[in-house]
Amino acid sequence: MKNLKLKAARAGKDLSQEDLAKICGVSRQTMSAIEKGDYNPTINLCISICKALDLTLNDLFWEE
Amino acid sequence: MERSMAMSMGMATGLMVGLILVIVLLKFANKDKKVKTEYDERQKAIKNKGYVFGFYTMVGLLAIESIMSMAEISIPIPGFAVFFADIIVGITVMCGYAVWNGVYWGMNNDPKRYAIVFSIAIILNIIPIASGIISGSFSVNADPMDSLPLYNVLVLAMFAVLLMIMLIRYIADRMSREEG
Repeated sequence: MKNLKLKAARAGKDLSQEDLAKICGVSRQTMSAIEKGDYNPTINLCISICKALDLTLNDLFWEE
Repeated sequence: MERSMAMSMGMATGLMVGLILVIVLLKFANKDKKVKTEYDERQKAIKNKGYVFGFYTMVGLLAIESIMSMAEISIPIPGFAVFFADIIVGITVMCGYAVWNGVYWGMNNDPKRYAIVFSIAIILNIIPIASGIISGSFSVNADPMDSLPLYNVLVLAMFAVLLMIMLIRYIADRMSREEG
């Protein structure tokens, strides 16, 4: 399932996939795979994405 | 006997020189001057799966060759080249799987420098084939001395397959790229 919350939050911060990937220390392809729902990141990567976007795990990764 | 001994010594020396060359080239090609390539967590997972596929491919090939050997079915390629082909096919499967799943570069790789390294490797493998063709000594027969360029042919075939996978994947990746 696509992570539209992450995509929207990234766009809200005016960051490209490449920018966010660089901040989190991963490749652009990995960030793209997370947004597309093709890859489930580890909790450590989830936390660094949340920190980069100033959001919580609930905001980005919790599905209602 | 003396000839094969000299050839073995030559190959061992060549491998050692090649190993040193690889270390120097990797240091040159990585941004942080480290020999080891760093991967992120998804890249590591994909590479691990690639290693598994590569391993089973090699096991499968060796099993087929064992059965063929038991059945005394011979192929018109010298034995040493068959073993080398198994290794090359295994590596191609591993790298091909990784590239197909978007693992082109590690985190510390410099793509432009890697392109230079690959170009050098391709040229170094073309030279013995070209000189073999020019001198007329390149032939597929049982004499390892005469068939030596087979190594280079196999390496070039591997590069060709990987470049093709990379190109297809790169075009597909660019078309589906989501930015901004």
